Amino acid sequence: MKVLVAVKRVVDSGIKVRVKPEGIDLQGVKMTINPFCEIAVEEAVRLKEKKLIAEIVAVTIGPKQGAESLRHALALGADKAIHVTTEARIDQTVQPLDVANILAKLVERDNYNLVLMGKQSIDDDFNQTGQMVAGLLDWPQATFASNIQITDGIAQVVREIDGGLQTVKFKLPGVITCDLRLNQPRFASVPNIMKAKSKPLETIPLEKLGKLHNSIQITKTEAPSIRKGGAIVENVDVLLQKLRNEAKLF
Amino acid sequence: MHSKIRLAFEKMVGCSNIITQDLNNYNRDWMNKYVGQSQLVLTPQTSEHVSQILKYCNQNQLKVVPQSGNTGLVGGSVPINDEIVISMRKMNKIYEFDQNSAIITSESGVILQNLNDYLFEYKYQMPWDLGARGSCLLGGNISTNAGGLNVVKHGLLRNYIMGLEVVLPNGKILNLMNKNRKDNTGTDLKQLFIGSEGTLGIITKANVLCIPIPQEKKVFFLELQSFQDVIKVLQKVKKNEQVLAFEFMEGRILKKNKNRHSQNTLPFQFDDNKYYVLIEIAGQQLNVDQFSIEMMEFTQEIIINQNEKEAQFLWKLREEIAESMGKMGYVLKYDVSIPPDKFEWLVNQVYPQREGPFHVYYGHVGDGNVHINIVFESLEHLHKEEDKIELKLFGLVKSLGGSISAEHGIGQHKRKYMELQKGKDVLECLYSIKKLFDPNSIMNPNKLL
Repeated sequence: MKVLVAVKRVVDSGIKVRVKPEGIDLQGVKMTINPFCEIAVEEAVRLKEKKLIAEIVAVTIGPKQGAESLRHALALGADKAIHVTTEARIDQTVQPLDVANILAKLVERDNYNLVLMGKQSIDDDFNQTGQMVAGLLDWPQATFASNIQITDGIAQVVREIDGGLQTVKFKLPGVITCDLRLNQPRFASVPNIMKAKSKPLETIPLEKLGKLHNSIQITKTEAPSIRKGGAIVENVDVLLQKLRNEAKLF
Repeated sequence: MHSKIRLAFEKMVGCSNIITQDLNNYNRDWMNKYVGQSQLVLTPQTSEHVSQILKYCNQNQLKVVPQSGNTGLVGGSVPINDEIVISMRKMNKIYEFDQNSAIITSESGVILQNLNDYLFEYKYQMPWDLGARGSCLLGGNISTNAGGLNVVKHGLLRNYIMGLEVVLPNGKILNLMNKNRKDNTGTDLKQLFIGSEGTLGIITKANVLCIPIPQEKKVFFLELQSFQDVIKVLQKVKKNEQVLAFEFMEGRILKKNKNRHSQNTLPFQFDDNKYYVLIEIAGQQLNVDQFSIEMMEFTQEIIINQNEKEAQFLWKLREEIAESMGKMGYVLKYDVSIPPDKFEWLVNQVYPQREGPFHVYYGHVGDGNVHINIVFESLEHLHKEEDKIELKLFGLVKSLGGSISAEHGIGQHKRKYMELQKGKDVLECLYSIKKLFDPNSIMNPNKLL
């Protein structure tokens, strides 16, 4: 069984960002694999360790630095990588439907049995790409996975949904998007990072696989307003007074 | 407390800066080892306040304890009896950062983390860093010449203090402020106040030389078979100027602390008999691959962080050791300077075969500074063993030409060993200086000297 794991390169969630009128300031800012994508890679590696899949291919779309994220995925245990190159802003111009089309093309080219992805990326939070890939390929999908079992070509996935946990079952091939509680990714070991350099990495210019339509325009980016301190009130009367006079709720 | 005294302070600093209730946190150190009996805490908001307070106390022979973040480990920042606590936390104005000279000017009650947050906009940072960064204040750091994690690359705190404003015990405000990089105009008086643990005066303002935030940082975490391997790695990287921190830990404490992290992946299955090293490299153009290859000469068990969260987690494994041991019982903490290759030997001299109460050694091996923590199940047992252990330990340290306190300072804890460490002649000079500045012995009495 062959798995395609899509990874997106995003701004490191642990650092402070600066907001500019045209978007987040990416100049010299640390980037890393989207946390949900990293969980997807980790899950693929665990499935391979359980001998349920034979080959993991990691793919990313972006500029040349994107290769670092692929190398990270290879160091964690992916076997091969595909770098779809573009100079467009991956946090703005590279959008879900275009990404889904490119991934679908790769699936058709290479015949994967399973596509594993993060449920959403932390820069745009679209939560659409996995679902669109399944739609384009006419494949079953299970999103927000917190547990994945594969037996004899059948995937059983526990999904985290608003009402609780839902278990779905389907025959592969299919698409699964990964949620936070699925696993905790391992640390990358230095020897594995060095070995990853000799794993196959294929580079394909984006135009060979698809097009960026840029159909969603970002009109404004601003930082959230600075949180004002709260106040502890002594009783309900004071609460009502503040709701009326300060929050102007009624 | 005398109403006349209270009235006098009210006139000087106002009621809002006088505290007489709920003084627990001011009277205790954070390890709960040292407890004082102060009845009065003052929170001055200006240098003028501090000046008036000290003038009055000096005239009336009232003893005082200057208190910063109260994060010290040797009981230097809490009262012993009913000394008046002068808490500096309200003097927290940051005046400016001069981008040309890279010097920041602020009051001494600013939290270290807040200084870094302020400097972030300019892409600069403070030249020292320690685990207490969210609570410790600038003045406390300066008066103890705080060490921390980055001494191996940046050197000592005292080299970064360009100027100070100090209020002397008689109330005089001594202006030693300076924003010049170079100032060779005789005896550098401000150096006396750096590291003298609040016994000569109260620091109210400072000019600090800052450093640019490195473009890139990476944290390596290594598993090694023996302490000798730790030293071998240290020898190899010693000359690498990109090494920002070099910390080592014993497997036994990392293994014990595993259950604090059930929700996280750990870098290794920690082993009681192995040794772990955290190396942080920082710089403008890091050669991570080159460094990786060098490390792989010593072990294949090396992991490297891939994002900021992982870096913070790896640091947490190191920084939580002190606190985690505090939770195990009553802890004797030591912090000595000796040649790094003697760390293992020293501990084995104190506890042959590593028998006895649970004890751990770890720390800034890059600076030759080892922390030794010993846990007792009762305060009684601790006090019974304390003197015996210290005489042995400090005797050994002295025989190696080391220091009985690398960075934690003397405070209450190591006062009685000052003569062993410094010798009679040096002590005599120090007593003279103390008498010169504080003839009435009101400043932080029974500490340091």
